[in-house]
Amino acid sequence: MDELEQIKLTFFQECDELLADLESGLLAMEAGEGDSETVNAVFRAVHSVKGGAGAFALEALVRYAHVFETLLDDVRSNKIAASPELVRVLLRAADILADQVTAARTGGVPDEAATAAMVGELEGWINGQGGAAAPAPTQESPAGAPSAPTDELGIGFTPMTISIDDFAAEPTAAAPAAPTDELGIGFTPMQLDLAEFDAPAEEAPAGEQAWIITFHPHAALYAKANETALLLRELERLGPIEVSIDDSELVSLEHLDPESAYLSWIVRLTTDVAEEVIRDVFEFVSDDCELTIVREGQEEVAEPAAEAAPVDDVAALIAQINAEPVVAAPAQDEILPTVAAAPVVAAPAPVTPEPVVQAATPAAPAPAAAKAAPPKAAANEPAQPQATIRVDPERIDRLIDLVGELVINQAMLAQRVGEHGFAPSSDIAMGLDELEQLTRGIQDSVMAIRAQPVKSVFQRMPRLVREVANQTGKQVRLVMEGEGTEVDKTVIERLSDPITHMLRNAIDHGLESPEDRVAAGKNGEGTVRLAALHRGGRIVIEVQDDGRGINRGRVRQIAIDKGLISPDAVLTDEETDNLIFLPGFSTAAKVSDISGRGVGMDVVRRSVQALGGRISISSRPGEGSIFTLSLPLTLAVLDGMVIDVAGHTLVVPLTAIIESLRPKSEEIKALGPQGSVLAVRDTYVPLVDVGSVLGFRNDLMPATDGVVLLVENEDGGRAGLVADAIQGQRQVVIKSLESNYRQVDGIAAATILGDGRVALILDVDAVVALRRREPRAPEPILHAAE
Amino acid sequence: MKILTVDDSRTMRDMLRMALVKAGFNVVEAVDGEHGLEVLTANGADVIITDINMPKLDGFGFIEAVREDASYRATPILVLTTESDPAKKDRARRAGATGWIVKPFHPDKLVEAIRRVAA
Amino acid sequence: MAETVQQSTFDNREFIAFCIGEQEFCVDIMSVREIRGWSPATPLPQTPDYMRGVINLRGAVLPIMDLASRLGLQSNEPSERSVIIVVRMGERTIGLLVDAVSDILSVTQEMIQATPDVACDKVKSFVRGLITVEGRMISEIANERLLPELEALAA
Repeated sequence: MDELEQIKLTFFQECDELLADLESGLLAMEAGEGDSETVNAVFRAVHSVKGGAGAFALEALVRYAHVFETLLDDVRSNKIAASPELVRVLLRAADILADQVTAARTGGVPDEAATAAMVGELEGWINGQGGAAAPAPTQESPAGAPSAPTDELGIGFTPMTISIDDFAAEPTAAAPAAPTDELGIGFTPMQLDLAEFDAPAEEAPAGEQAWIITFHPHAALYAKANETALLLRELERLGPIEVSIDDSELVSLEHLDPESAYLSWIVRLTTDVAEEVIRDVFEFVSDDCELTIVREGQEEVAEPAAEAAPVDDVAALIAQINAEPVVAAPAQDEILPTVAAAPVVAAPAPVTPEPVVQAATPAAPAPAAAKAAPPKAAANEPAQPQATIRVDPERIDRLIDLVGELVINQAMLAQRVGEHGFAPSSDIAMGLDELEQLTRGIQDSVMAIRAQPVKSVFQRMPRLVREVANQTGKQVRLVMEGEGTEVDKTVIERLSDPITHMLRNAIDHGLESPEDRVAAGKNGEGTVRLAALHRGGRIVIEVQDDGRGINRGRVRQIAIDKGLISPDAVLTDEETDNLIFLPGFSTAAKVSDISGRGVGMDVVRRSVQALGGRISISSRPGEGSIFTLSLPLTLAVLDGMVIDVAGHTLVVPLTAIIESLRPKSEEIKALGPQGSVLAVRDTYVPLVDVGSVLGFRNDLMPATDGVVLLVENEDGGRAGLVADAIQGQRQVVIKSLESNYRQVDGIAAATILGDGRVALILDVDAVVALRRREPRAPEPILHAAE
Repeated sequence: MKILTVDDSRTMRDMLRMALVKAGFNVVEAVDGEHGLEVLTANGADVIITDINMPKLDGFGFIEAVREDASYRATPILVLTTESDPAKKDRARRAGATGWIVKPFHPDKLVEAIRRVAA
Repeated sequence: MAETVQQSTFDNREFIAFCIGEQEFCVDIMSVREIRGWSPATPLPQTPDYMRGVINLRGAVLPIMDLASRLGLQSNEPSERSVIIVVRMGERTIGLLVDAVSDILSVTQEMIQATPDVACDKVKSFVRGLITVEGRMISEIANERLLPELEALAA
């Protein structure tokens, strides 16, 4: 059952979305921003989870979702007011629902105690409704209690309920009362055959038996698009039938109401099925007709009318009925099947327009487009499900890879053409320019397909914040901004971990306890802001708290104690703050398991850097701290400056470069034994000889012999990268070194140039940092594990 | 035969599509009542299967709107529901639903329900 | 791990044998993706000497390991006759630079014997066993031990 498994995957995907909707709806309610549509959306989310879970017979999930849904239905129908207290309960209930979904997905067991406690809590709210809140008597809303058996036995519903019981193979006979029955527990749709259905368990078939079925449809039956002919056809499936028509009620043509029904049908059915099965045929119409079903010989009341006209050939009748233009006919020509079918009206006389129009009234035969229906909900929800197509992400990845190859190929072609000395104005060169534009266009469009808003990551954070707040006894308000900021899927996947760490850190270390905050004259509830924005071709994530700020004295002391800095090191405030990212720093004893989770900020920084990203922190004592994380918008392509360094071709990400310079010798000053600085306008920036830092040459190249790329790193510091020459700018396709090897210090990734050779993409910050570490420690050679 | 399914749950749409396609029907889909009306106008349908709880335009509103259009007055509409609640089913019937299918549904049940309402 | 299973399951295994200097080595043919000629590699900074750099293998970046250097043997500058054996190591694919491919061997389990203690530590740690074929001694390379960085990262 591949397809079913596939749908199950879809279900869990959808659950993620529904849970996110649920949470954001509840959060809106908590913030007092919820309207009735919000409540509806919240209800629908749980309802849909339940519906899908039912389809896959995920019983525990169905059971829990049902209780949750019941309470939400009461909220929706204003039986229970959505007090802040209740919304907090609902938020926790949503968390548990998420756990249940996870358990169902992984086949694990959810925390049963927590679930049971929550069910108890929810039921408490459901049952407490009676006296408490003002009941809003809406006709449609059910009496909330799911346990009322009479509700289950609604008119027309009975046959279905029974058949579900049959499927469940529960011999609990006629009492389909408990909510579990209603939900069809154990009813796995795909695994059952219909045999059980055809042979009802209620009553042993007593052999062939003739039944007399009298059936008088009301006009309403046809108004709902039911068809007598189809019902007869269904009866015929059960056994041979003889049909006669009672047209005693038929009126003369001028009094005929086309929307009315005048005929009765009498059917003699010979079959071995039970009465329930016959009744099932009329399930949909039982309210819109008079129906009697009796064993032949037992009929007394329902004696067929005297004028009953026998119809010998049912097939012919059905064909006759179906042949009528009713189904597709516009209102004006409408002739009801009852009329057409009656032998009396064999040749339908032309019907005058007036009565038809009159008759057609109750439903106002507006020939207007179906669109005319007024939309019920004010469309203030931007989540408009437009016409979308769903595509396997692998296909898009493949497309992106191919476009990447196209970019490389195009560059290769351009290089060849250049080598052959075609003038830029030549047809070939101009054609290539166009090709480049097109290639770019395709690439941008393809990347846009894969771009996703960061919302998918952000929406997991409120729960995290609630949990960490609970564990630490802090009061936290989470503010999220820029959830719609889009970034390539490759980056989205890598955002979650660093954001999680930054948030944990902000709450655990940043925010003070409520008492301390009040004592410091602050609101007892701290605020953590999580924001996403685009800046300079990168995505920037900020996590800001209004806590106490970094205790620099302590950080410095820890760094000294750990031997990370020398006791007499002179550090700026900024540098001190960023000591927390040093390897080994956060193994400090004080780190709680909340922030740490066994992983220090150094690991976070390393993984961020591996993606060509930066992370830093700045802080103001007493006012709070802000983490800033920046990543490229995609990990698939980048705009780069191609440079020559000691016979090697390297690519420098364009986003890092402020400008390129050809320094004059008087602008360069020696500083220290090996170092030198370049005067750029009013400031001096350190020069970094890329060739020697990377070990491509032993001696420093005089900067005046080459070019200097002025770069800015994440902390705002500047440096000049010394290179031999600049080849030009180019968009390159990023190829990971890690997929086949590992991360290499100073190198962000690799790419393939126009000539087919691999060029390395420089990690600018790392190169600058490597220079600072000079003299370089010899690369530790690791030996095979002993 | 072309069947329009209207449900905001992707899972349910997929389930319906799988069962319907297996039974030899053509399927068009919509994600809520409003969308359903658009798809119906654009593609037509021989039978409509709709959910009740949906954003924007719910199943009741959708059925009423379909019935208001003379060209679809005779189009059978089956409502999908997990509700045991007869009030909801009655309301759907008053709106003009031809029949109903209780979720979770057996594929054979689904096909049978369609057969019962469609020529 | 999969290789170990195969080892015990199948009587006959096939190996690609190759030369480094005067010595012969081999790798399980199941791990070999392709064999190609030498093309100049882009050097990787900050990496051990035995890493020759990376080359473009149909759009993927393939790291090249100088196997001679890795085994602590005399390493020569690669020539046009040098060969790269592209092998899978778990999730990764890398190229092994060797002097020449010499043979394809079909070997039964009895032909493989454990590495004797006499071998120097470095060779011993990379050699899984010794195969004797027609009087030649061929050392089976334990691919998975060649990239210590990976083990260090995984640890």
